[in-house]
Amino acid sequence: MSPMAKGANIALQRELPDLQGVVFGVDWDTGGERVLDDNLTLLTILVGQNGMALSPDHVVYFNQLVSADLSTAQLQQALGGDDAQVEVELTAVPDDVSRIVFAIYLSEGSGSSRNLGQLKRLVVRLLNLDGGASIISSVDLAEGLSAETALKLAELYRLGGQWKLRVLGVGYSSGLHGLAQEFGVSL
Amino acid sequence: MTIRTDLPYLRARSLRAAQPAPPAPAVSPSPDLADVAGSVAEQPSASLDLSAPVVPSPAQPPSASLDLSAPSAPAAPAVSASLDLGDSAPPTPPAGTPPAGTSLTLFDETPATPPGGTSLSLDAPSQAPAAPSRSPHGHTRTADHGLGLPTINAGERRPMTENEPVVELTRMQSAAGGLDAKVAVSNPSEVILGLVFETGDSRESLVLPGLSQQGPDPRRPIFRATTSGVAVNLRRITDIHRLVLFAVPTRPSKQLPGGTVTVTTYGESRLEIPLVAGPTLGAQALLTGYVVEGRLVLRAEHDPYSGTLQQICAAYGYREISWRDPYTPLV
Repeated sequence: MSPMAKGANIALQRELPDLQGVVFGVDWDTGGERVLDDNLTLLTILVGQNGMALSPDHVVYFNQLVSADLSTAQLQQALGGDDAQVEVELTAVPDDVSRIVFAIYLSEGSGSSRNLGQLKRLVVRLLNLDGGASIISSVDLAEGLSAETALKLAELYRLGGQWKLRVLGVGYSSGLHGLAQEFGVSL
Repeated sequence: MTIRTDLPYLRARSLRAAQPAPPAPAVSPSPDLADVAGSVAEQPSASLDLSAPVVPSPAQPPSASLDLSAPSAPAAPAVSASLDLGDSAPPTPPAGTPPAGTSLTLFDETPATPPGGTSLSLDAPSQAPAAPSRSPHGHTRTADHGLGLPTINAGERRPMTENEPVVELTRMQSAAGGLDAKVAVSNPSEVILGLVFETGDSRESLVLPGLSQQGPDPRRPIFRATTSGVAVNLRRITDIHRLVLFAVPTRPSKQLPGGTVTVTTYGESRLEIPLVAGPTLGAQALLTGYVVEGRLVLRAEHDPYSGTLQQICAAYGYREISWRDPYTPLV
């Protein structure tokens, strides 16, 4: 299957009716830029019907690796070629979660200014949680980035009782602030 | 004032708790009941005492460890700064034993909340947290102990007074961006800020402008000196165990100027710590921080005692640092 472009979507359970869960992986190439490597951060937000994070416990990242409902968990050490991975047990996601948004941002605590335009490559992919078979991957989302410091990568969302994946590639120049504001995450 | 080398600082800190005891609460306090809220004598209800014990036991040296393990057997309370999150029964003190020291016990027992105020006890709720459940694929969350400490909202400013010296940051606040400490005095060149810290792998070191600009690893620093203070990179919060923010006067007289030290989060929450004008022995502890289950708990120390930098570090439990002299760490 050809890589998914920005905005493209796929009905996961139409392709794989027995799909119980997925692994969302992010593979980035910083070109050896250490500040980028150290500060790129994956953030996963379980979003309710109102478009906001269900609760602070429904935001998954390095300091909170598992969502409150246990459906979503970030791996401390990604497997395979990915730099960061999140497992989602689709069957365990509460009904009040309408979508799950995956984003990356550049942490701003190091005192060094960087942006996502410095990335050489940024690809996301989806694996079957059961067995690890690859389902889909994206085009290079780094293309066209410049001063962005946060990026919505993709989202899993429900439609007609089925889970779908949409590749986003939507950037913010306001970093984590922008993401937090959009999804009601308190800083 | 003369410089004493027999750890007068720590001993002096214990004197605070030796003041007349507050009325006994209806429920006996935990032996490790800690009062982060300030003076026990003045605020008996705001329990959570981080002050030193009334009767230190020479057999149990002070420790600033953050013990998350369950105690193996009941014992007399140790003179410790431990923050025990164990789930087993708490040690039972001998009758009449005063609350011990700087421990922040989170034992599962009935909270000792004296009447008439808001307890800041770190004791866990009377019912143990439910055992972590497990998702079909094995996702689990560790039990989350509600610390019940004051929190702060994004954009809020909070003077950390003697009566309200503690703030618990949320997991997100503890991990987002950095924590910036800056000094606000009329002549900023009269004081510098520094940090002494212990990382998760038990390394102790300092950041002190002009001596050690960043640490512990200069290539990937967690702590660093800035133009107006010091900063903590919270992307590395999981590598941090504890820290102390201190002030060092630059005048030959070692006189601290009066003013304020601000600590600001990524969400623009601002904690304000008073910088009290007066003579020092070389350094003044201002703020301590512990990472407790992913959350950074900050306490303004309002410490009436100064010391050499070496004494300050030792008094707060940082003893793995070597020194060129009492004012200069070997970094």
